[in-house]
Amino acid sequence: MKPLVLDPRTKFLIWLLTNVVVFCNTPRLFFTITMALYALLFLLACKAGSMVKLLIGYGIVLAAQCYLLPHLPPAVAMVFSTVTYAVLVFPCVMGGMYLLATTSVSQLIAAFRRMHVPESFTITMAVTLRYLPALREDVRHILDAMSLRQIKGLEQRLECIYIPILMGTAQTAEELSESATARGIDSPGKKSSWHTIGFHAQDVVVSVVFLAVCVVSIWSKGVLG
Amino acid sequence: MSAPTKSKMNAKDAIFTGALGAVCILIRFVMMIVGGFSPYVWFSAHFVDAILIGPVFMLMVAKTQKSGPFVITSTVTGILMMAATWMLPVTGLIGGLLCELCLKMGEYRKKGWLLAGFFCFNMGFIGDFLPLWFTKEAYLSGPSMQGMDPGYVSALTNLLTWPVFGVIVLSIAVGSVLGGLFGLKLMQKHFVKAGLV
Repeated sequence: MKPLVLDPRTKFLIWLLTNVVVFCNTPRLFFTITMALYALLFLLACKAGSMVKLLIGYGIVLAAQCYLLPHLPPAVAMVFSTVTYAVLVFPCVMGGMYLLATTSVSQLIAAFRRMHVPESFTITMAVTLRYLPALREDVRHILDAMSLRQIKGLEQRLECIYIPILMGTAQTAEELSESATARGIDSPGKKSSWHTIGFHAQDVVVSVVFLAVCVVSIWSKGVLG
Repeated sequence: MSAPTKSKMNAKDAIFTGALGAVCILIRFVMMIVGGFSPYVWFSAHFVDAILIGPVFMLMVAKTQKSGPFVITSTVTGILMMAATWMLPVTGLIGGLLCELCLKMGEYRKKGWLLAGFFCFNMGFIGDFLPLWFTKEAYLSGPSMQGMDPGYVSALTNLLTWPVFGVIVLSIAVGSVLGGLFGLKLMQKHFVKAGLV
Protein backbone atom coordinates (compact mmCIF):
# COMPACT_ATOMS: atom_id res chain seq x y z
CA MET A 1 0.00 0.00 0.00
CA LYS A 2 1.20 3.48 -0.77
CA PRO A 3 1.69 5.59 2.36
CA LEU A 4 -0.69 8.48 2.82
CA VAL A 5 1.21 11.72 2.40
CA LEU A 6 -0.04 14.86 4.10
CA ASP A 7 1.23 18.36 3.61
CA PRO A 8 3.47 19.42 6.52
CA ARG A 9 1.23 22.44 7.08
CA THR A 10 -1.76 20.12 7.57
CA LYS A 11 0.25 18.25 10.21
CA PHE A 12 0.94 21.53 12.03
CA LEU A 13 -2.74 22.41 11.89
CA ILE A 14 -4.00 19.11 13.31
CA TRP A 15 -1.32 19.26 15.98
CA LEU A 16 -2.60 22.70 17.03
CA LEU A 17 -6.17 21.43 17.11
CA THR A 18 -5.07 18.51 19.30
CA ASN A 19 -3.54 20.99 21.70
CA VAL A 20 -6.83 22.86 21.90
CA VAL A 21 -8.65 19.61 22.72
CA VAL A 22 -6.13 18.75 25.45
CA PHE A 23 -5.66 22.11 27.12
CA CYS A 24 -9.33 23.11 27.08
CA ASN A 25 -9.77 20.12 29.34
CA THR A 26 -12.53 18.58 27.28
CA PRO A 27 -14.11 15.23 28.28
CA ARG A 28 -11.81 12.22 28.32
CA LEU A 29 -13.64 10.60 25.42
CA PHE A 30 -12.19 13.14 23.00
CA PHE A 31 -8.63 12.43 24.10
CA THR A 32 -9.24 8.82 23.11
CA ILE A 33 -10.79 9.83 19.80
CA THR A 34 -7.84 12.07 18.94
CA MET A 35 -5.39 9.33 19.81
CA ALA A 36 -7.32 6.80 17.74
CA LEU A 37 -7.25 9.21 14.80
CA TYR A 38 -3.50 9.62 15.15
CA ALA A 39 -3.08 5.85 15.39
CA LEU A 40 -4.98 5.58 12.12
CA LEU A 41 -2.78 8.24 10.53
CA PHE A 42 0.33 6.37 11.65
CA LEU A 43 -1.04 3.18 10.06
CA LEU A 44 -1.95 4.96 6.81
CA ALA A 45 1.57 6.43 6.69
CA CYS A 46 2.95 2.87 7.03
CA LYS A 47 4.56 3.70 10.37
CA ALA A 48 2.99 0.91 12.39
CA GLY A 49 6.27 0.36 14.27
CA SER A 50 6.39 3.88 15.69
CA MET A 51 2.71 3.67 16.57
CA VAL A 52 3.09 0.41 18.48
CA LYS A 53 6.04 1.87 20.42
CA LEU A 54 4.01 4.96 21.34
CA LEU A 55 0.99 2.92 22.39
CA ILE A 56 3.13 0.63 24.54
CA GLY A 57 4.56 3.72 26.21
CA TYR A 58 1.04 5.01 26.79
CA GLY A 59 -0.01 1.65 28.20
CA ILE A 60 2.85 1.73 30.69
CA VAL A 61 2.12 5.23 32.01
CA LEU A 62 -1.60 4.50 32.12
CA ALA A 63 -1.06 1.25 34.00
CA ALA A 64 1.26 3.03 36.42
CA GLN A 65 -1.41 5.62 37.07
CA CYS A 66 -4.28 3.21 37.53
CA TYR A 67 -2.63 0.35 39.38
CA LEU A 68 0.54 1.62 40.96
CA LEU A 69 -0.07 5.18 42.18
CA PRO A 70 -3.27 4.56 44.21
CA HIS A 71 -1.48 1.87 46.24
CA LEU A 72 1.54 3.97 47.11
CA PRO A 73 1.62 6.33 50.09
CA PRO A 74 0.97 9.92 48.94
CA ALA A 75 4.52 11.02 49.68
CA VAL A 76 5.94 8.33 47.38
CA ALA A 77 3.25 8.82 44.77
CA MET A 78 4.23 12.50 44.64
CA VAL A 79 7.64 11.53 43.40
CA PHE A 80 6.06 9.89 40.38
CA SER A 81 3.36 12.45 39.76
CA THR A 82 4.71 13.40 36.33
CA VAL A 83 3.05 10.19 35.18
CA THR A 84 -0.39 11.78 35.41
CA TYR A 85 0.84 14.73 33.41
CA ALA A 86 2.22 12.41 30.75
CA VAL A 87 -1.17 10.69 30.45
CA LEU A 88 -2.83 14.07 30.07
CA VAL A 89 -0.63 15.42 27.27
CA PHE A 90 -0.26 12.14 25.41
CA PRO A 91 -2.40 13.15 22.40
CA CYS A 92 -0.06 16.12 21.84
CA VAL A 93 2.94 13.83 22.12
CA MET A 94 1.43 11.58 19.46
CA GLY A 95 0.83 14.58 17.22
CA GLY A 96 4.40 15.80 17.59
CA MET A 97 5.80 12.33 16.96
CA TYR A 98 3.61 11.95 13.90
CA LEU A 99 4.88 15.24 12.52
CA LEU A 100 8.53 14.33 13.07
CA ALA A 101 8.26 10.68 12.01
CA THR A 102 6.51 11.30 8.70
CA THR A 103 8.15 14.51 7.49
CA SER A 104 11.54 14.60 5.83
CA VAL A 105 13.78 17.59 6.36
CA SER A 106 13.41 18.70 2.75
CA GLN A 107 9.62 18.60 3.00
CA LEU A 108 9.82 20.71 6.12
CA ILE A 109 12.04 23.23 4.35
CA ALA A 110 9.63 23.36 1.42
CA ALA A 111 6.73 23.99 3.82
CA PHE A 112 8.62 26.74 5.66
CA ARG A 113 9.52 28.45 2.39
CA ARG A 114 5.89 28.29 1.34
CA MET A 115 4.91 29.89 4.64
CA HIS A 116 7.48 32.68 4.03
CA VAL A 117 9.49 31.91 7.14
CA PRO A 118 12.82 33.84 7.06
CA GLU A 119 15.53 31.91 5.26
CA SER A 120 18.00 32.05 8.15
CA PHE A 121 15.43 30.40 10.40
CA THR A 122 14.72 27.67 7.86
CA ILE A 123 18.40 26.85 7.37
CA THR A 124 19.06 26.78 11.10
CA MET A 125 16.14 24.44 11.68
CA ALA A 126 17.23 22.09 8.88
CA VAL A 127 20.84 21.95 10.08
CA THR A 128 19.72 21.29 13.64
CA LEU A 129 17.52 18.39 12.62
CA ARG A 130 20.18 16.91 10.40
CA TYR A 131 22.94 17.38 12.96
CA LEU A 132 21.27 15.60 15.90
CA PRO A 133 22.05 12.00 14.78
CA ALA A 134 25.66 12.94 13.96
CA LEU A 135 25.99 14.45 17.41
CA ARG A 136 24.82 11.28 19.09
CA GLU A 137 27.50 9.36 17.25
CA ASP A 138 30.16 11.87 18.34
CA VAL A 139 29.10 11.53 21.98
CA ARG A 140 29.39 7.77 21.79
CA HIS A 141 32.92 7.95 20.39
CA ILE A 142 34.00 10.41 23.06
CA LEU A 143 32.57 8.25 25.84
CA ASP A 144 34.44 5.25 24.44
CA ALA A 145 37.68 7.21 24.39
CA MET A 146 37.06 8.48 27.91
CA SER A 147 36.53 5.03 29.34
CA LEU A 148 40.03 4.10 28.17
CA ARG A 149 41.53 6.81 30.33
CA GLN A 150 41.25 7.59 33.99
CA ILE A 151 39.12 10.68 34.20
CA LYS A 152 37.96 11.77 37.61
CA GLY A 153 35.77 14.51 39.00
CA LEU A 154 32.63 16.05 37.65
CA GLU A 155 34.22 19.16 36.25
CA GLN A 156 36.97 17.30 34.46
CA ARG A 157 34.53 14.78 33.06
CA LEU A 158 32.29 17.56 31.78
CA GLU A 159 35.23 19.29 30.21
CA CYS A 160 36.35 16.08 28.53
CA ILE A 161 32.99 15.54 26.89
CA TYR A 162 32.33 19.15 26.14
CA ILE A 163 35.47 20.51 24.56
CA PRO A 164 35.80 17.83 21.85
CA ILE A 165 32.11 18.13 21.00
CA LEU A 166 32.22 21.89 20.69
CA MET A 167 35.48 21.83 18.74
CA GLY A 168 34.08 19.14 16.45
CA THR A 169 30.84 21.03 15.97
CA ALA A 170 32.64 24.24 15.09
CA GLN A 171 34.77 22.36 12.59
CA THR A 172 31.83 20.54 10.99
CA ALA A 173 29.80 23.73 10.78
CA GLU A 174 32.68 25.41 8.97
CA GLU A 175 32.91 22.59 6.43
CA LEU A 176 29.16 22.39 5.99
CA SER A 177 28.84 26.08 5.28
CA GLU A 178 31.65 25.94 2.71
CA SER A 179 29.97 23.09 0.89
CA ALA A 180 26.58 24.78 1.08
CA THR A 181 27.99 28.04 -0.25
CA ALA A 182 29.60 26.13 -3.11
CA ARG A 183 26.16 24.73 -3.96
CA GLY A 184 24.60 28.15 -4.01
CA ILE A 185 22.81 28.53 -0.70
CA ASP A 186 23.35 32.29 -0.84
CA SER A 187 21.86 32.66 -4.30
CA PRO A 188 19.02 35.16 -4.25
CA GLY A 189 16.78 33.29 -6.72
CA LYS A 190 13.76 31.21 -5.87
CA LYS A 191 14.78 27.72 -4.77
CA SER A 192 13.18 24.56 -6.03
CA SER A 193 12.51 21.47 -3.97
CA TRP A 194 12.87 17.79 -4.76
CA HIS A 195 9.73 17.02 -2.78
CA THR A 196 6.66 18.85 -4.03
CA ILE A 197 4.16 19.75 -1.37
CA GLY A 198 0.61 20.99 -1.67
CA PHE A 199 -2.87 20.61 -0.31
CA HIS A 200 -4.82 17.66 -1.72
CA ALA A 201 -8.07 15.88 -0.99
CA GLN A 202 -6.58 13.92 1.93
CA ASP A 203 -5.41 17.15 3.59
CA VAL A 204 -8.92 18.55 3.42
CA VAL A 205 -10.45 15.34 4.85
CA VAL A 206 -7.99 15.09 7.75
CA SER A 207 -8.27 18.79 8.63
CA VAL A 208 -12.05 18.68 8.59
CA VAL A 209 -12.16 15.56 10.79
CA PHE A 210 -9.81 17.10 13.38
CA LEU A 211 -11.62 20.41 13.28
CA ALA A 212 -14.93 18.61 13.84
CA VAL A 213 -13.53 16.68 16.81
CA CYS A 214 -12.17 19.91 18.27
CA VAL A 215 -15.43 21.85 17.89
CA VAL A 216 -17.60 18.99 19.17
CA SER A 217 -15.32 18.44 22.16
CA ILE A 218 -15.58 22.08 23.23
CA TRP A 219 -19.32 22.13 22.63
CA SER A 220 -19.88 18.92 24.59
CA LYS A 221 -17.88 20.30 27.50
CA GLY A 222 -20.85 22.47 28.39
CA VAL A 223 -23.37 19.69 27.80
CA LEU A 224 -21.65 16.66 29.34
CA GLY A 225 -19.33 18.19 31.82
CA MET B 1 17.05 40.80 10.60
CA SER B 2 14.84 42.60 8.11
CA ALA B 3 17.13 45.35 6.89
CA PRO B 4 20.22 44.23 4.98
CA THR B 5 22.84 45.61 7.34
CA LYS B 6 26.31 44.51 8.26
CA SER B 7 24.94 42.61 11.25
CA LYS B 8 22.61 40.47 9.19
CA MET B 9 22.94 36.72 9.56
CA ASN B 10 24.30 34.96 6.49
CA ALA B 11 24.04 31.30 5.56
CA LYS B 12 27.30 30.54 7.33
CA ASP B 13 26.02 31.92 10.63
CA ALA B 14 22.77 30.04 10.19
CA ILE B 15 24.60 26.75 9.73
CA PHE B 16 26.85 27.39 12.70
CA THR B 17 23.85 28.30 14.82
CA GLY B 18 22.03 25.18 13.70
CA ALA B 19 24.91 22.89 14.64
CA LEU B 20 25.38 24.46 18.08
CA GLY B 21 21.62 24.60 18.53
CA ALA B 22 21.59 20.83 18.10
CA VAL B 23 23.97 20.55 21.06
CA CYS B 24 21.60 22.71 23.16
CA ILE B 25 18.61 20.64 22.17
CA LEU B 26 20.38 17.40 22.94
CA ILE B 27 21.18 18.61 26.47
CA ARG B 28 17.63 19.84 27.07
CA PHE B 29 16.19 16.64 25.70
CA VAL B 30 18.29 14.40 27.93
CA MET B 31 17.38 16.49 30.97
CA MET B 32 13.71 16.34 30.04
CA ILE B 33 13.79 12.54 29.85
CA VAL B 34 15.55 12.37 33.21
CA GLY B 35 13.03 14.83 34.64
CA GLY B 36 10.17 12.70 33.44
CA PHE B 37 10.58 10.47 36.46
CA SER B 38 9.63 12.92 39.13
CA PRO B 39 8.54 16.54 39.49
CA TYR B 40 11.39 17.26 41.91
CA VAL B 41 13.95 16.29 39.30
CA TRP B 42 11.95 18.06 36.62
CA PHE B 43 11.91 21.35 38.50
CA SER B 44 15.64 21.26 39.14
CA ALA B 45 16.44 20.16 35.58
CA HIS B 46 16.52 23.77 34.40
CA PHE B 47 19.26 24.56 36.87
CA VAL B 48 21.42 21.78 35.45
CA ASP B 49 20.44 22.78 31.90
CA ALA B 50 21.67 26.29 32.51
CA ILE B 51 25.06 25.13 33.75
CA LEU B 52 25.56 22.69 30.90
CA ILE B 53 24.49 25.07 28.15
CA GLY B 54 26.78 27.88 29.35
CA PRO B 55 29.80 26.96 27.21
CA VAL B 56 27.67 26.40 24.08
CA PHE B 57 26.06 29.79 24.55
CA MET B 58 29.33 31.61 25.05
CA LEU B 59 30.85 29.94 21.99
CA MET B 60 27.83 30.97 19.95
CA VAL B 61 28.16 34.59 21.11
CA ALA B 62 31.85 34.68 20.33
CA LYS B 63 31.50 33.08 16.91
CA THR B 64 28.53 34.95 15.48
CA GLN B 65 28.49 38.39 17.18
CA LYS B 66 25.22 39.17 15.44
CA SER B 67 21.63 39.46 16.44
CA GLY B 68 19.44 36.59 15.39
CA PRO B 69 21.03 33.27 16.36
CA PHE B 70 19.61 33.13 19.87
CA VAL B 71 16.03 33.91 19.11
CA ILE B 72 16.20 31.33 16.32
CA THR B 73 17.79 28.66 18.51
CA SER B 74 15.31 29.05 21.32
CA THR B 75 12.35 29.06 18.95
CA VAL B 76 13.65 26.00 17.12
CA THR B 77 14.10 24.24 20.47
CA GLY B 78 10.53 25.13 21.32
CA ILE B 79 9.20 23.86 18.03
CA LEU B 80 11.10 20.58 18.16
CA MET B 81 9.87 19.92 21.67
CA MET B 82 6.39 21.23 21.15
CA ALA B 83 5.15 17.67 21.56
CA ALA B 84 5.33 18.45 25.27
CA THR B 85 3.30 21.65 25.23
CA TRP B 86 2.31 24.45 22.88
CA MET B 87 3.71 27.03 25.28
CA LEU B 88 7.34 26.19 24.55
CA PRO B 89 7.61 27.90 21.16
CA VAL B 90 5.93 31.00 22.61
CA THR B 91 8.17 31.34 25.66
CA GLY B 92 11.13 30.36 23.48
CA LEU B 93 10.41 33.25 21.15
CA ILE B 94 9.98 35.75 23.99
CA GLY B 95 13.05 34.55 25.91
CA GLY B 96 15.11 34.58 22.72
CA LEU B 97 14.10 38.16 21.88
CA LEU B 98 14.96 39.39 25.39
CA CYS B 99 18.28 37.58 25.15
CA GLU B 100 19.10 39.31 21.85
CA LEU B 101 18.25 42.63 23.43
CA CYS B 102 20.58 42.03 26.39
CA LEU B 103 23.42 40.93 24.15
CA LYS B 104 23.00 43.94 21.93
CA MET B 105 23.12 46.23 24.95
CA GLY B 106 26.38 44.61 25.97
CA GLU B 107 27.74 44.70 22.41
CA TYR B 108 28.33 40.93 22.69
CA ARG B 109 31.28 41.55 24.98
CA LYS B 110 30.31 42.91 28.40
CA LYS B 111 30.19 40.16 30.95
CA GLY B 112 27.15 41.37 32.91
CA TRP B 113 25.00 41.66 29.82
CA LEU B 114 26.22 38.30 28.58
CA LEU B 115 25.04 36.69 31.80
CA ALA B 116 21.73 38.58 31.68
CA GLY B 117 21.20 37.44 28.11
CA PHE B 118 21.99 33.89 29.07
CA PHE B 119 19.43 34.08 31.87
CA CYS B 120 16.74 35.22 29.39
CA PHE B 121 17.78 32.44 27.02
CA ASN B 122 17.23 29.87 29.77
CA MET B 123 13.96 31.44 30.84
CA GLY B 124 12.74 30.80 27.31
CA PHE B 125 12.54 27.15 28.17
CA ILE B 126 10.32 27.63 31.20
CA GLY B 127 7.27 26.99 29.02
CA ASP B 128 7.62 23.27 29.56
CA PHE B 129 5.84 23.42 32.86
CA LEU B 130 3.89 26.63 32.62
CA PRO B 131 0.71 24.72 31.67
CA LEU B 132 0.91 22.98 35.05
CA TRP B 133 0.47 26.36 36.70
CA PHE B 134 -2.00 27.94 34.32
CA THR B 135 -4.31 24.96 33.99
CA LYS B 136 -3.80 23.85 37.57
CA GLU B 137 -7.46 23.80 38.65
CA ALA B 138 -8.57 21.97 35.55
CA TYR B 139 -5.69 19.54 35.83
CA LEU B 140 -6.27 18.74 39.48
CA SER B 141 -10.04 18.34 39.16
CA GLY B 142 -9.86 16.76 35.71
CA PRO B 143 -10.27 13.16 34.67
CA SER B 144 -6.63 12.29 35.25
CA MET B 145 -7.06 12.80 39.00
CA GLN B 146 -10.17 10.71 39.50
CA GLY B 147 -9.63 7.75 41.76
CA MET B 148 -6.42 9.20 43.14
CA ASP B 149 -5.65 9.38 46.81
CA PRO B 150 -6.83 12.71 48.33
CA GLY B 151 -3.49 13.05 50.13
CA TYR B 152 -1.73 12.80 46.82
CA VAL B 153 -3.92 15.45 45.24
CA SER B 154 -3.40 17.86 48.12
CA ALA B 155 0.36 17.28 48.05
CA LEU B 156 0.34 18.13 44.37
CA THR B 157 -1.79 21.22 45.05
CA ASN B 158 0.79 22.38 47.54
CA LEU B 159 3.61 21.85 45.09
CA LEU B 160 2.04 23.77 42.24
CA THR B 161 2.04 27.16 43.93
CA TRP B 162 3.55 30.43 42.77
CA PRO B 163 6.24 30.54 45.49
CA VAL B 164 7.52 27.21 44.16
CA PHE B 165 7.51 28.78 40.72
CA GLY B 166 9.58 31.65 42.12
CA VAL B 167 12.11 29.18 43.49
CA ILE B 168 12.41 27.62 40.03
CA VAL B 169 13.07 31.02 38.45
CA LEU B 170 15.64 31.76 41.13
CA SER B 171 17.36 28.42 40.51
CA ILE B 172 17.52 29.24 36.81
CA ALA B 173 19.10 32.60 37.65
CA VAL B 174 21.76 30.98 39.83
CA GLY B 175 22.32 28.25 37.24
CA SER B 176 22.70 30.85 34.49
CA VAL B 177 25.37 32.76 36.38
CA LEU B 178 27.28 29.58 37.21
CA GLY B 179 26.89 28.21 33.69
CA GLY B 180 27.86 31.50 32.10
CA LEU B 181 31.01 31.80 34.19
CA PHE B 182 31.84 28.15 33.52
CA GLY B 183 31.41 28.86 29.81
CA LEU B 184 33.64 31.92 29.89
CA LYS B 185 36.29 29.97 31.76
CA LEU B 186 36.28 27.17 29.21
CA MET B 187 36.47 29.73 26.42
CA GLN B 188 39.58 31.27 27.92
CA LYS B 189 41.13 27.91 28.61
CA HIS B 190 40.52 26.13 25.33
CA PHE B 191 38.98 28.02 22.46
CA VAL B 192 41.06 31.16 22.61
CA LYS B 193 44.16 29.02 22.91
CA ALA B 194 43.12 26.86 19.97
CA GLY B 195 42.55 29.96 17.86
CA LEU B 196 38.93 29.07 17.28
CA VAL B 197 37.59 32.41 18.43
